Amino acid sequence: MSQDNMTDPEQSTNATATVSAPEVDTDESSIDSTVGRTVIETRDLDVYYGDEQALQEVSLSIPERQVTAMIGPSGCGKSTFLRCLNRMNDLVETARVEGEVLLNGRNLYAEDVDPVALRRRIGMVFQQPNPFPKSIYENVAYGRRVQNKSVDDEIVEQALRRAALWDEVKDQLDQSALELSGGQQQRLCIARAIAVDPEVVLMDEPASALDPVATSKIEDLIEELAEDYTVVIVTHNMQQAARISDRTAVFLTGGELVEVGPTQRVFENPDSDRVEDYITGKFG
Amino acid sequence: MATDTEDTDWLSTDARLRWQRLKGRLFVGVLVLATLVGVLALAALFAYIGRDALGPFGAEPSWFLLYFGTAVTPIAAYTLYVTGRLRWLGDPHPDVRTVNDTAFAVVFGSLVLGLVVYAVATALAPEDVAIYVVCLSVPPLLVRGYARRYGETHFTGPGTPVSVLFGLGAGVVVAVTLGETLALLVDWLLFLVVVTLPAAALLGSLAVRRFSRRWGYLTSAAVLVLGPAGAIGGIVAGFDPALGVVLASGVLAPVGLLVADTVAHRRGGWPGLLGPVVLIGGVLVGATLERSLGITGLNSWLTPTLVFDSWSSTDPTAAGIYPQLVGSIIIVAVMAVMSFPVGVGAAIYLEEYAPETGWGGRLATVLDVNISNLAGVPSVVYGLLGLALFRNAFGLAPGLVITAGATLGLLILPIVIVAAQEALRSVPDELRQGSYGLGASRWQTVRNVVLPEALPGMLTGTILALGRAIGETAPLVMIGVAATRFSPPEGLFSGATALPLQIFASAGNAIPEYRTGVLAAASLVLLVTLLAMNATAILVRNRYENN
Amino acid sequence: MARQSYQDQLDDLREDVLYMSELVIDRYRMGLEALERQDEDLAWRVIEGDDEVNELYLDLEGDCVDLVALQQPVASDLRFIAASFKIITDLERVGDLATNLGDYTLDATKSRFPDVDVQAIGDLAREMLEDAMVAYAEEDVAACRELAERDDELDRLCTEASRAVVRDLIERELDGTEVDVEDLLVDVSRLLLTIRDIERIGDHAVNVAARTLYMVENDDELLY
Repeated sequence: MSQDNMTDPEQSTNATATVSAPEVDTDESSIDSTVGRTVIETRDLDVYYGDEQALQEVSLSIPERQVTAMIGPSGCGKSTFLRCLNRMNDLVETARVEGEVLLNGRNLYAEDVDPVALRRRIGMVFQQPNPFPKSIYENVAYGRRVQNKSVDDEIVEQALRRAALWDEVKDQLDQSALELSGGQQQRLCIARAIAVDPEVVLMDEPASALDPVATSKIEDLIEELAEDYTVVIVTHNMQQAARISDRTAVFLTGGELVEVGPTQRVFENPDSDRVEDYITGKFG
Repeated sequence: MATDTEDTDWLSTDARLRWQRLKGRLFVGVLVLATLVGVLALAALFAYIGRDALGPFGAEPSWFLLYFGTAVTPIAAYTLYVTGRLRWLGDPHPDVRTVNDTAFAVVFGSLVLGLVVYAVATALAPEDVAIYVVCLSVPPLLVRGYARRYGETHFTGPGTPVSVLFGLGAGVVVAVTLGETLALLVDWLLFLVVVTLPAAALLGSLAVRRFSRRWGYLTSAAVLVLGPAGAIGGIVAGFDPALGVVLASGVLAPVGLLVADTVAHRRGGWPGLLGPVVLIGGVLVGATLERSLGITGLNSWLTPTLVFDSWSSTDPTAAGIYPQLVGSIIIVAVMAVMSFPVGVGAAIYLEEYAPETGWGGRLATVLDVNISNLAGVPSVVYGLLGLALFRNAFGLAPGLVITAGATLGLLILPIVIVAAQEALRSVPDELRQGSYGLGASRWQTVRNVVLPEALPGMLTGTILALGRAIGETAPLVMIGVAATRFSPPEGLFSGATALPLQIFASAGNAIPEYRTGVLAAASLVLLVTLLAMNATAILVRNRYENN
Repeated sequence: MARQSYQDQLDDLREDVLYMSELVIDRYRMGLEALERQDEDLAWRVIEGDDEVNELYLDLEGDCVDLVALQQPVASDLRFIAASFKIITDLERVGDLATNLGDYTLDATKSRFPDVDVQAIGDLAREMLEDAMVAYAEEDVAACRELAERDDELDRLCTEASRAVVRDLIERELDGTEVDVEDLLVDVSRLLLTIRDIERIGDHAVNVAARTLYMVENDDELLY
């Protein structure tokens, strides 16, 4: 992943100049660093839990088929931001969202958008693996069943293969999912998320509850997934973000998006001093 | 490198630690005493009742020896073997334990269930029961069959409960029109419909899952043959052929399937099947020997007469509580049907749908608190409610089955709601989040993820509540249920009768034997029923916890 | 295998370093040839080729920094990256020295020292560098140690050659042969510098071997 330095239009918190037109970064050599079409874009996103503000005017673009990572100290709003993208914050009664979140140009918080329909295009994997107490097969099939989509063995197999789990469970598809190990359960959750063929997969600290070997498998998996899906991942592990993401967004305490750009630039030469201090560990 | 033996005296116990340890032990002692008070009081109660009901001091010592030898010892030895404590006999195959548990569950479960069904169906009019069994099961089965065949879930989902309601209506119509005609049919034919057909279907589908399609059909066919065979056996042996049908297709058939399954899948566990045989066989052998050797048995009031005959207020030895027993069971069934759906529905609303903030939220909180209050309202007050509502407002006659069932249903409703709420709360929130994340609506999440997870807890809570209500006397008195009836209720709108009332009544009888013997025996029957219900609740809970 | 793309990046780095070494060795060989044949065109090509070497050096340097920043290598991976980083520095210097050979070719007026076989010494140094890179590619520690010894031989030859040049110069003076002082100065200084540069290339080859030994066995014996 050799990416050269390049100017990125969305560096400062208050930039509202992000446009939904495809972004092409002008740079000399490396092909990897070309930012493709923007899939999701937020504009001046503010989130309040009651009177407390969790996100401050966050404007961010997420390019398709890349891994975009959000890092930042605890409580800086990165999970809140993630949950805005698929309107999971709707389930929290005290949450209030202002601003726009655009998916392929359409504002997800408009009146006529059905959150349930939305979540069928934007899938989510959570921090703690949460397989249903059903068989492995039924877990993978669940999403398709509730969406009235067809379910057959082939689709289930494909999803499990994509999640690098097929070989380990192909003989025990009828067994309860709760008998799998933590790492396997998390890969099962990923399989069931991609079984419905979403456009975007959101991951909220997917490996933080796992041991290093399982974490490594998940990281490899995420890199593969980015070939087919747009992946947005929240992680408190900076090194993980450095390893697997193409773009990194840094949130700091108070819900402020301080910098966003190609991972290589953010980790080698960040624009903001605050980001530099955070990354080098000089402040939390 | 030797450890430094500097100053390690602080590791040993000193006076301070000793005193603390003593205080701890004293505390534990006091707690044990408190526990013992409760346990001992209960033990005293059981001993007292047992002495009065069973009259153990009237039996010869040889009687005890006899049963000790034929029943107690074999079953004790068998249990020791199964739990692997009889080393010199060798270790039992690991499957023996499971097979044994299943064998006891199947044998005694099917026995109890079969007898209850027989008693209730005979009381209520077998033709009516048969009609409702058909009308309530065929429409939903058709709907589900359609759903599976064509993979349709959009309409067949809500279609299933609608078809049940339709079946109910159809049942009423058919019962009114064809009821009398069907009543002319011989009882055991009707029992074929009530017991044999469902048993054939259930056991057949079980066989399909455990073996194969072909075996499933064979099993169903076998059950269908067993039914009439049981009737013939009954006629030949001189007891009610209907009972023969029930025993053959409701008890023998499941046991047969169990044996076949053990032989096929868990062959090493076959000794587990012997458990019920040892127990029942031992008791039977003991009884036969008792009779043939002429040994005086217990001076027991718990006799077949008591259990199977109807009441007599003058002759204690002829007094029976059969109608009351059946009556109580019917009331429990009515209670369950009325309170479970309503209670579960309310709990689901309060836990999953009710808003948390704003006016809706405040209303929900008020409801929540008041439901908990209702659980503490004295049962007499519920009797008053039943009186006002069903007798006065609806104008029903006093002491009907439906009134009794509804009143007691209201009594346990708050308990069912609270138990169901607890069960719903115990479902981890991550499961709901996971379901929402996959694009499921709230309704889908509740139905597919939350409810299945919470159902065992709900069932357990309901069964325990039913167990409590089976012994409620005051409300039944208030709504005018007759203490003594000489036959079991015939339908929902016939006069109810219940065991606690009879117990209460016999306590006021002039003849002393009623007050000691019959009362104690009847109480024992009630306690056993209660224990059976609680045991079922615990079994349900354990089974789903282990899954 | 886990972390496949990371592994691929490490392999790519190794390939690129080897490619750079091939490039540099090629330039060096061309430099020697240009010197031997007094081929000015070839000399120019060598001089202009240095840009490519420098660019490659910067690219690889960036790659090493990226790997450290983004992949958090440890243990042998980290030693490999650190060693590769130093080796490309040595290679870049060899590239510069090869360019010097081109410069000398352009400066030369005539070659007059048949006793001094610059080509042979130059080939020896070239072989050393080639072998050092092979040792790096194959992680061959025995070859690394052996290389250090060959450097002694090279140094000896270079010293001898330099002495031969100076002796010849003095003898010529004593001969009283008619010479063009300016031409002679240029020739001699050019030749001495060439010999010194060849010796330096040998030292760089030893550096490569030393770094390789450190990378494989964490042994800094050759790193003085």
